[in-house]
Amino acid sequence: MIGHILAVAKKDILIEYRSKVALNEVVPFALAVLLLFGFALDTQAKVLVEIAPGVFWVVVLFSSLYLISRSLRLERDNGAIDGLALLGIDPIAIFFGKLLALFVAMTVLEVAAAAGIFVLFSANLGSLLLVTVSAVAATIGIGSVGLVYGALASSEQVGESLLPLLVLPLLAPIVIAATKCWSDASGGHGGIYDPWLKLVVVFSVVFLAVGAVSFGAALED
Amino acid sequence: MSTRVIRGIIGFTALGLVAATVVMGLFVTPPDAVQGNLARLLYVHPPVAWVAYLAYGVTSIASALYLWRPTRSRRWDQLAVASAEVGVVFTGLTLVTGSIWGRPAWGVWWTWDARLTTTAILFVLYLGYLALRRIPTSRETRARRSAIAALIAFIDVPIVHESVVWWRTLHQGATVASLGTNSKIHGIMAWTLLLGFVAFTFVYFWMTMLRFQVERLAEQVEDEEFKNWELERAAESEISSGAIATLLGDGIGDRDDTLIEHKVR
Repeated sequence: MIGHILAVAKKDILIEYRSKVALNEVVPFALAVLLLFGFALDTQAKVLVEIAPGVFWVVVLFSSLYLISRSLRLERDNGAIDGLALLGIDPIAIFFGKLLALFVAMTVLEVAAAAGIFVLFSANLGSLLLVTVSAVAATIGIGSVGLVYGALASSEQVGESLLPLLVLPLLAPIVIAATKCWSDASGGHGGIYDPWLKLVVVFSVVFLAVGAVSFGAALED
Repeated sequence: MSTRVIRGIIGFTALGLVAATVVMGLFVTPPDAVQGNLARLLYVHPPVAWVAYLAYGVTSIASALYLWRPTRSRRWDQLAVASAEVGVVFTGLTLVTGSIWGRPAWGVWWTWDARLTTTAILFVLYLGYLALRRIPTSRETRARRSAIAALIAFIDVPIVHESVVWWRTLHQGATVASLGTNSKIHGIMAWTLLLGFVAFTFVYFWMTMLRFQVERLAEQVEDEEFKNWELERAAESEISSGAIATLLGDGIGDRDDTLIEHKVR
C-alpha cells in the first residue's frame, strides 16, 4: 500500500519536475494576481497589511485549482487511470499518492505566494508555528476536496468553469478559518490552540476521510 | 388512486393553504408592535427557508439510497434531482425574501451574518450540483457522480454553518422555539406562521412530485428515441448490405461477408 502510494506520488512529481507547469505557469499566475490586488486596492499600505492573509488564501485557492485539474488531466489523457487500475492499485492508494504529489506542488505555490505577500504587502507572520500548521492542514483539505471533485467533473465535455463552481463554495470554511489563523498569529494572540486551527484540522480530517473513501467511486467511469 | 390524482389533490391543497396564508398574513393578523407591517414577511420567509432545508435533506437521503447497492434504483436519482431543483428555487426565494426584509429592518440588503452567508453558500453549492448533472454522460455515471457530490455537500453544510457562526452572528435568534407557553409571538400570528409552514411544505411536495414525473418521462422519451434510432440504423444497414450483396452478386469473398455482418450488428 505504502509502496503504491509512493509510486503514484513519484510518478506525478516526476511529470511535474519534467514539465514544470506548476513552476512556470501557476506560480507566476499567483504572483500576477498579487500584483493585481495591489493595483485594485491602490497600494494603501495599511489596508494591504490587514487583508494580506485573506488575499494569500484566495490566491492560493484559485491557483491550486489549476494544479488540481492538471493532476486529474494527467490520468484522463490516454486513459492512464485505466492503466493504474489494471495494475491492481487500490483507488485509495491512488488518492493518497496524488494527494502527496499535489501537496508538494501546492507547498511550492504557497511558499512563493507567501514570499510575494511579504514583499509586496509587507505582511507579518507573528507565530510561524500557527501559520505553518494551519497551512499544512488547509492544504490537505483543499487537495482532498479538489481531487474528489476533479475526478467527478473531469471528462472531455466539461468546461473549465465547472471545477471552481463545485469546489470554491465547499472550501469556504477553509478560507475563513485559515485566514483567521494567520490574522490571529500576526495579531500576536494566536497560539497552537487557536480555535480556528481546530476548524481547519477538523475540515481537513473529515475531507481526507471522505476523499479516500469516495475517490474510487468518483473515478470509476 | 393513481399518482396523478394524488398529485392533483396535493396541488389543490397547497393552493388553498397558500391562499389561506395570504389572507391570514395580510388581512387577519395585526401588525407587529415593533416591526409593524414588515413582520408580515415572517409568514413567508421562515417557511420558505424550511422548505429549502427539507429539499436538500431529501436529496441527501435519496442520494445515499442510490449509492447503497441494495437500494440502488433510478428512482432515487430522479427524486434527488427533483428535490434539489426545488431546493435551489426555495433557497433563492429565501435569499430574496430575506433581503427584502433586511433592507428596512437592518438598513442593508445584505449583511455578512452567519445564516445569510450559509444560505448563500448553500445556494451556489447546489447550483454546482445541478451544473454537474448537466455534463453529458451515461445515466449511471451521472447518477453516481451527482449522488457523491450531494453527499459531500451534505457533510460540508454543518462545517460551513459552524465556521460562519464563529465568524460572525447578527441574525435574530429563532423566535419560535415551540408554539407552547414560551412562545414570544401572539397566538394568531403563531398560527399563521404554522399555516405558512404547512402550506409551503405542501407546495414542496407538489413541485417535487411534478418534477419527479417530468424526469421520468424525459428518460422514457430518451429511451424510446434511442430504440427508434437503433431500429432505423438496423433497417438502413440491412438495406445497404442487401444492396451490396445484389451489386456484387456471388463475387463476395468470406472477408466481405464478415464485414457486412459486422455492420448489421
